[in-house]
Amino acid sequence: MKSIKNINSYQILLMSITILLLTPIQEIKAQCGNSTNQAERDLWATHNCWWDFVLWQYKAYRMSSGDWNGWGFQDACNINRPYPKAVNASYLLTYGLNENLSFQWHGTIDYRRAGEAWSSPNHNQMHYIPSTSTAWLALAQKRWPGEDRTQMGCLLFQATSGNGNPASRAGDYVHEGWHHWQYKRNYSGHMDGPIGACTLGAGGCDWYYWHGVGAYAFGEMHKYTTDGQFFHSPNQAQVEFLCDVAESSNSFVPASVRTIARSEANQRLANRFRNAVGYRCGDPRPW
Amino acid sequence: MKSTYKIILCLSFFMFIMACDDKKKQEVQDNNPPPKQSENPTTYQKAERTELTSTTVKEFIQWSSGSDLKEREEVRREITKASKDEEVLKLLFEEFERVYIEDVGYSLIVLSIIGELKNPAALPQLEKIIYKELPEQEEKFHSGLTKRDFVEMLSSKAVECAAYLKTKASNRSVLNAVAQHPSNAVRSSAIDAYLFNNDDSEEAKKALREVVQENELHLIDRVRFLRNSNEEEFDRNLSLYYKAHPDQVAPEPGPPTEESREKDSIKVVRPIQPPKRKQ
Repeated sequence: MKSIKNINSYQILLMSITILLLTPIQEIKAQCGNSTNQAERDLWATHNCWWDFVLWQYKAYRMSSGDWNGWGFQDACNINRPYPKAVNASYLLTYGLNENLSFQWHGTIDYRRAGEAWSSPNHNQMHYIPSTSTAWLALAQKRWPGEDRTQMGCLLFQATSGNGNPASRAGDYVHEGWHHWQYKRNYSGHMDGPIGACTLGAGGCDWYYWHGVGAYAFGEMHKYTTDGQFFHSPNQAQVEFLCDVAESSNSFVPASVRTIARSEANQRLANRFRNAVGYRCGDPRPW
Repeated sequence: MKSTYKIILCLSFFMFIMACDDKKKQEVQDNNPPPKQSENPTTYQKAERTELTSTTVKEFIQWSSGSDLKEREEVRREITKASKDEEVLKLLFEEFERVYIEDVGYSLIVLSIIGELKNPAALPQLEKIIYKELPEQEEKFHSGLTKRDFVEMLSSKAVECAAYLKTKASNRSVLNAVAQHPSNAVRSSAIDAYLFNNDDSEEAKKALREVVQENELHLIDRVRFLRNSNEEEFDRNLSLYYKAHPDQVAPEPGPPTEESREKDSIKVVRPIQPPKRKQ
């Protein structure tokens, strides 16, 4: 029998990796709160877990029972749980805009392509998994070999986190989806701040590549030119979506969802971009 | 040399295991069982329309929060009817303080009602909200909003409410915020709100130029993205902003650093359309 002394460090490394990969990972129970906030309830009341949509959503976002068990996948109409909250945000992204061809940053098809998981002109096929991390909101991950993915962090589901509402969650689908757009084309992600008008720290800042509201036909948001005339950064794509929710939503979208979408859009416009952006979202009349 | 081979061997093995694991996961996903219905599904009903009185404040918040776009004018009318009711104002501020950043969406709705009341008595409390202490900015918080963002969002809403009062005192207060508020987000909102409530007049722009921080002068020239605006007019004005402030145009991103990987490296699933929503 081979003595333990004869096993070198490479073999130990090899064995450790093998053991790690072959050990079944215990299901981590969701620790991301078990309640809802006002905007979540208001939006949920407009569909109350429309089952046909749920049955489409899990395919469109490639959310699998293996990843989402323990997160509400087996209790999919309980809005206190993370998975139904993910469905609620998908509902807003899929039906929330009124498709005003003459005054909307981009069409629903553009935002859907960013958020949905299947392969599209926007990005390669990916899938979504939940995470108990509170160190970040979400993470788009480029992976090789294998499929790209987006990890959705706890704060997206915590009712009191401020990020845990359907407008922010849907905005984050677009934001992370735009990282996948970058991965497909090999563009890099955020830059470190504070820098210019951006007050965030490490990895918190983007450029805003301005374009007119009529510059893109619906369905063409993924197109770009290397001179920046047609180009989007992740925060920019997210802000344009949020601003469209605030100002170009379908009538059924509740006031709480429109209000928080506008507020988040303007907050990001004020401090997530290195250059100062030439517009504000919505008017400042209180109601 | 031997160790290099061993490292390569280890890495290859590791990637092989990863690839097998991922392929298995993908197969599982492609034959993914559907989610399960809850035994007790959550259902909410839209709140009933109600008047705004001192006994119905919470019910009114519920109704207005869930109200749709067609009800906007109706909500405004109901708020206006209560504009002189000091008790309503007091209860709304109490509700705001009770919830604050625990539910930012709710607090924004409460502030929206407070602002729409247009009651000058609200100014001192609005100022307290505008100048709430700002938490330190959190580091490394990819894509998310931070606690500081939430405080700033509510302070920004409060400054918009103050500007809507359109009194001498409120105008002075908003100009003070433009000049010296420690948050750039709140200053940005204050500039926009001051202009909006002073009809975007040249006089208002002049008043702002006298107090605005020098590196924020360009914020006076921004345009507003508003529902049903005229596309050509918006695009023309946005273009004028960037012509006047070429230093705010982003630099060319240039070509990507590496060759792009246009094709999926894995088997892809054909997209299907979402069900048609009933109106």
